Amino acid sequence: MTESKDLKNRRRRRSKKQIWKLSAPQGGALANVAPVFSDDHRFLVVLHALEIRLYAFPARQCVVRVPIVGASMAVDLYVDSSAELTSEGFPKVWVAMRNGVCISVDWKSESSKSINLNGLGVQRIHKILGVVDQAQTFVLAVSDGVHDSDISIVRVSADGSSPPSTLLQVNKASLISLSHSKSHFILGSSQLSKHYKKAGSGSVEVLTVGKFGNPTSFETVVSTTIERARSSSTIAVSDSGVVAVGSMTGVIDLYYPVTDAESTNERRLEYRQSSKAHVIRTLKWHLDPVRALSFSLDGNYLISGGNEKVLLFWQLDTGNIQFLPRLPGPITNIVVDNTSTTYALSLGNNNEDIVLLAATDLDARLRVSSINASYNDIPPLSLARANISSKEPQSSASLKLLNLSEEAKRAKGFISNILDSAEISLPNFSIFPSAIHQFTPHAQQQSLKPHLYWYFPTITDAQIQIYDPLRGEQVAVQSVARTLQLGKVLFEEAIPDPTITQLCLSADSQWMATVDETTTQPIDDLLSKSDVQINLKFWAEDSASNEGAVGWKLVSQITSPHGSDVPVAAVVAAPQAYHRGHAFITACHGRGLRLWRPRIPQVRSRQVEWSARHIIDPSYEFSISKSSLDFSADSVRELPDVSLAWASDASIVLLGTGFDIYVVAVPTEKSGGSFEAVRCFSGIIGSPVRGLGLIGTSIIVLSERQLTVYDILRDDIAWSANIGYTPKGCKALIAFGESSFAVAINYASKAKSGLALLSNVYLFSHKSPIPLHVAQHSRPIAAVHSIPSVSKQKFTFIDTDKTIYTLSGPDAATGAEPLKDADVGDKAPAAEAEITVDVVPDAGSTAILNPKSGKFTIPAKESTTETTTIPEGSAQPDVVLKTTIVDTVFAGPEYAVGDLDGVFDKLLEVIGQKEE
Amino acid sequence: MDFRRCKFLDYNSHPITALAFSHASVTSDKYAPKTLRLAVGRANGDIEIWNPRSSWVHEITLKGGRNRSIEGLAWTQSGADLRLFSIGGSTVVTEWDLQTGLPLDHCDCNAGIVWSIAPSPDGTKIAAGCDDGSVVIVDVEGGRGVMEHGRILQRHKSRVLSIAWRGNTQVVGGCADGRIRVWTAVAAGEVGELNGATSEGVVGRIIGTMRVDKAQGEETLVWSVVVLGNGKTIVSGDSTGSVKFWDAAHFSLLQSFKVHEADVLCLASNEAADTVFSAGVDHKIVRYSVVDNKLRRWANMSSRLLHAHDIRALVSYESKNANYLISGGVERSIVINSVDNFIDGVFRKIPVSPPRHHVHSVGDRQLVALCGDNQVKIWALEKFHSSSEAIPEGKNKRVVASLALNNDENITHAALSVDAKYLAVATNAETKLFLLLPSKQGFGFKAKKIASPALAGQGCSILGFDPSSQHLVLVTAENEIFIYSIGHQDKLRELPYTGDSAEGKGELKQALPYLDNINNLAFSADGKYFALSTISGYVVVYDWPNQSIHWSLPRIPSIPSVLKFCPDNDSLIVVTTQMKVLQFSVASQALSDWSRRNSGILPPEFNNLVDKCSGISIDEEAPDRAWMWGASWLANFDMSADIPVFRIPKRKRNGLSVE
Repeated sequence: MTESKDLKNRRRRRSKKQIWKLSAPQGGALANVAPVFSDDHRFLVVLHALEIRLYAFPARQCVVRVPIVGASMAVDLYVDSSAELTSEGFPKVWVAMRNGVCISVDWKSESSKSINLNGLGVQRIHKILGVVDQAQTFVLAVSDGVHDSDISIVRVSADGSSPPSTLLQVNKASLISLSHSKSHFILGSSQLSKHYKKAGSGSVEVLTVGKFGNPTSFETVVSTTIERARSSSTIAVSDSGVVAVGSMTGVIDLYYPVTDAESTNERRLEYRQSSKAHVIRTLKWHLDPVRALSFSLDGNYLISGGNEKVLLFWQLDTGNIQFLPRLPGPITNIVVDNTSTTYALSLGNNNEDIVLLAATDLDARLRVSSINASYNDIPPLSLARANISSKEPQSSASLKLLNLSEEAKRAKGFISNILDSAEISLPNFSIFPSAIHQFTPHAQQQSLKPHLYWYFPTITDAQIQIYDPLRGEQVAVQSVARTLQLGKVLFEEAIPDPTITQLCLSADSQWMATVDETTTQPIDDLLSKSDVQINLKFWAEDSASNEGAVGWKLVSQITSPHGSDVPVAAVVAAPQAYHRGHAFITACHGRGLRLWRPRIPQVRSRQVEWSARHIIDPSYEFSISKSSLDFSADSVRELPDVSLAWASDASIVLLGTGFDIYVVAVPTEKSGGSFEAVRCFSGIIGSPVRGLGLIGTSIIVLSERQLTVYDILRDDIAWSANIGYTPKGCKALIAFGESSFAVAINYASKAKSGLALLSNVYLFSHKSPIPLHVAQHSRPIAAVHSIPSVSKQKFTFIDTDKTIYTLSGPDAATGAEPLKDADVGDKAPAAEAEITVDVVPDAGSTAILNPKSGKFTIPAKESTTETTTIPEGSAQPDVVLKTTIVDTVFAGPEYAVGDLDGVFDKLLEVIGQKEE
Repeated sequence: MDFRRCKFLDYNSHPITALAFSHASVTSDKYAPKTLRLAVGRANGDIEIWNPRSSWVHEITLKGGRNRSIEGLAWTQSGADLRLFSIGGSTVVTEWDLQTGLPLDHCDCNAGIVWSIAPSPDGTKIAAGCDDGSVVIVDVEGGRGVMEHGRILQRHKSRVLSIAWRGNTQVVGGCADGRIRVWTAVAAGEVGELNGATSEGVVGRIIGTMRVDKAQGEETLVWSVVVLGNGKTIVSGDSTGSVKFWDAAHFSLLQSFKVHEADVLCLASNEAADTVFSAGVDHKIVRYSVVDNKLRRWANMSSRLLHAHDIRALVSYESKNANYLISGGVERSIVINSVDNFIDGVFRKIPVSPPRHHVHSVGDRQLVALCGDNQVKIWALEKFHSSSEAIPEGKNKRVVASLALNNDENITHAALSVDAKYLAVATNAETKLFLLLPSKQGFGFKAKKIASPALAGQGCSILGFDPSSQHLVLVTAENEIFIYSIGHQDKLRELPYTGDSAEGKGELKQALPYLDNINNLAFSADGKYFALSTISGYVVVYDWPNQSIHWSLPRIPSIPSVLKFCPDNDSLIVVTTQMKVLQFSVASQALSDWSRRNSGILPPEFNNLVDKCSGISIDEEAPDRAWMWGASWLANFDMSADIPVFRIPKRKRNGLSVE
């Protein structure tokens, strides 16, 4: 037992020292909750996915942020006007969670306190209507857990001192809104019409307008109902009880309550109130559904917005309209502050932006953006793959026990888990086409720490969003191509925006290359309507003229860089070794390559022009075996992925397309000539290529079905692993560091409620198929990138929730990577060079080769977290193995058919022999 | 039996220029009077009178004449009598005789062309706005046919385009110089005060002027004004497209709406005076409502696009059982909407189809005649050779005769004889008989007028040839029936007709005397019987050879729209505006067996039709089949079979089959 205790201690020590760390999440989307203004109109409270932030107006920036757990559950933000402000003037803010929890935010200590009302008969909260008695009593719109749309207005004591009292109940309610002063509220519900009840068909919308009898204590409710035939999409109520209803057809209906009448009209009024208590008014401008409505404070204006991206101001007295067109996204929410001087608009279908407009000049005062990246749709898996596995998927911690030794079982368990995940068909989800992050050091201010920015091509408008994950804010938006600003005219929507297909930054971040494609506008019905205009653009970093902020200016634009209608399939930046990295290579689908260099790379002046220096034409004769171009049936309709990688010593470029990998010699100044394909590897990857890279002398290829590491020097596959399915277009799922690389694999797993999409990030060294680290993630991953760090290896990835994580490895000094390895990488050692296959026991994560037994051992994992174990008796000195020893393992047919069990048997056999 | 769809008849309906309801709206707890009628004035001078009951029935047309457009209509009530006045591009106000359809009297205003007309709320006076800027008050208190020149209000320089009464004492006029003027029209002592509106100043003087916006330096034309029920608010619509609300007590602007893109030509308000409708050149009808009663704030509530062309007239009527917003214009059809449920209520467009009396056909000769305004056109159709053979477009018909009368009066009726030998054309002033001679060119006819002093002196409203084509029946405006025998003496013989003597002069007929007018004639094919009907539902069958009354039918409770004798059995089919099909056996003087069994259970598809029956045709090959048609439908009744009634099949006793 002492031994095991010792082991545990050691394990703990080692894990502490060497573990790959996953950073706290950064970025994230904005929560789908309308922002709120503080009562004194100094602050705006915005709920992000990870934290709640207070933005101050004069400063136009975030002043306090408080982490909130489970912000995706939030349904409402509420500023308690009755509560005292903090000494800084921060308002008292409540966050209502769907599950019946109200969270009060303490700005001072940057913490939050939650009050669980769940036990008090509150199952689900829909909205906070009021907080009274120093948060002793809440007035809430709630429903029981069963009938989510049967909403009750209840008054709940937080301490349970008095039972909750129901003030009003409305069944089948789908919309709820509150007036500015919180005096009126409105519920929109769909109910069976009285008139049609007998016929059994026809439902009507019933709007219930409620008014609190006493606006400070919220004790009683007076309510009236309005019946209407049109289906509504959004509702609003003014402080005077005027109701605005936006319908799916774009018509806005206003319901005026019939107020005190003139004496002569009394009789008519009686009649009116008996049959219809409201006068209806219709406002017509929108053609698409109205998605947001709000009254101005005094009720003189109605503000509406929808999919047209136009904000409308209706002056209700005259019916005059004022427009604010060309907003960045569909308007989903409008909040008016309580001085009516500022409007907060939520824009975008997923609440991508919150824009603060000043009412006086309709100028944006503040813009809060989430990551505004576009996700691609993945082509569906072929049917052959889709029907495979119905067996219970396993979490990666579980092992598959077969008739093997304990260690072998573990090793097998690890691999089989990967296989399992591949067996389950991936449902469609989306992924970035390209996402790039880069240091942007400020040339003039060297003292400043370099920033890390992500670059996201946006869904619309052909822009690149530059995002700072650390601050969680958008830094800048770079427009790449001219887009037509959509106004109101319907057919304009048929004109497509240019799409950014490629995005690449040079190694020193001085240059950026983008490719955008524009399809011809279909509205003109021209002969050239199927033409695609392709522009390759080179941008110079322009922080100087941009006051230190990130900015890019266009230097060169090359139309149709590979000829007309030939899309650019891949772009790669040169390594530092090649002209200080000031070069890009582009590839097109026909294996054409072009090398681009600036004409005066030393002086960055306006005269800088980029031009193609070296060209491989598509007609260039590679030694192509015909069979290698024979793609599987479902990929024929689309061109194969093309991937490029440039060796760090600048000598060669790898071009992967289809099943082929070409090694292309880069023309130098001396040789002067053009590209020369020196090698072609056909069929080593077994499935179409997705992404590739070079570490040292190893070519690492992520293909559709497997990960292959090919040693150039030995001219053989070093190892390969079948790690699941990588959909087409997912180049960004592999990233290369100095000596390791990261691969993200998304897979589906059966969860309680159907299939759940999960992902693993594997960190590999090119030397071993045993991962250095496996990080599990509960969301699909969209892109992985390596951070060129001096001290540590770092990989960063973003998931489909727009959350960014960073995996940082052990310090370079303590060295997961042996020195010798670095030699291998740089100096091209002899083929017989002995490589230390210490599979980093100190890295602590997954696998260790037991030098005595020569067997792989995989630590058992206790849970799905990244906690790691080391195997028993591993405290042995490092051992040296020849790389060639396992060659035979991969030589046989077992490997070729992907029979990993067989491969493992073989591997064990080989290692076992050596032991003997 | 062959059907032809004749799309080539160049029937031109005329734009609606004026609309007027016979009664003012009543509060929602009262029913509309039975005498409620809508007068529709058209650009050719015709005035149609529509009854809103049984989904709008056209009762009579008061015929106009050449260049006599109706520019304004007004109804007043003297006791039980309803009186209809019109103006039209002349200096006179015309009162119409509702019984004969002829003008009863003219009152010359002596102040230029009359542009606008409005009856006072108490129905004692009519204000007429004239070209020279004067407003003439015509006193109509004296009963039918009495129009006294009352007083000319203070003159100014521009014409009065629109006029409205504020109470019974003040007149509001919209003028062509962009001003709205208010006159004291009647001394305060002359009538009782209404709605607190006091008359100020000297009678006849302008007491207030309001000025609308100028557009591009031109004077704005104030096309329409209305005074809202409570007399507190004046609403104006002008040529800049704006609708303005004015405080009538202080003559100050309350609110202005610029919703219309072009001239606002007409306005209407509801009974509660909290909703106003405006319409005009931009085809839209816009609704405004009071949104704040305390502040009297109005808002533009909604608009509806129901017309495809300019809207010239707009009128509303509300009561417990009626709720109409009627609009009409260049598009010609009457559009019926609801005041209460303006936004999304159902609306109806009464189709523009020629009134039945305008089209005639002679089946044997394949002739179709259309009369209207001042001309008659006759087309000849190619005979069908086989039903499958398509006749090329344009070659299947040709105009064989075209007559243009040089009278000023519009044609009231025309008739073709069965042998297509004679054509008779009537106006309210004279009747003309033509002999149709085949022309020498081979096809076509030459119309030769048969000189007949007797006919020339007798205008009539309905004409008919008997089957022998020897006798022409004339029904005059005064409901006298004359027979003219062709080729005999040039003399009119009167057919004994006593009218609907069974019923006394009811209140309804007192108000609307035209209800006793004859509206249909029919001959049996063998010439044995002759039938006529009145609007009030009185049908009488004559023994034609003896020219004596054969049978007075039991009274029909609604207006008979069509009479038709069946070819074989001497039975008479009557279709009424309530969509009843009645078949009478003339010989046995009773309802036929078929009608007794089936008239009460006509299928709802037929009963619910809103467009009235405009004709019956009987298939000679299958004489039991009656084809009926309206503007938008065609129905076929088999008079030999009973209408199937839905029965639930009974189970037979063995439980295995149904009977």
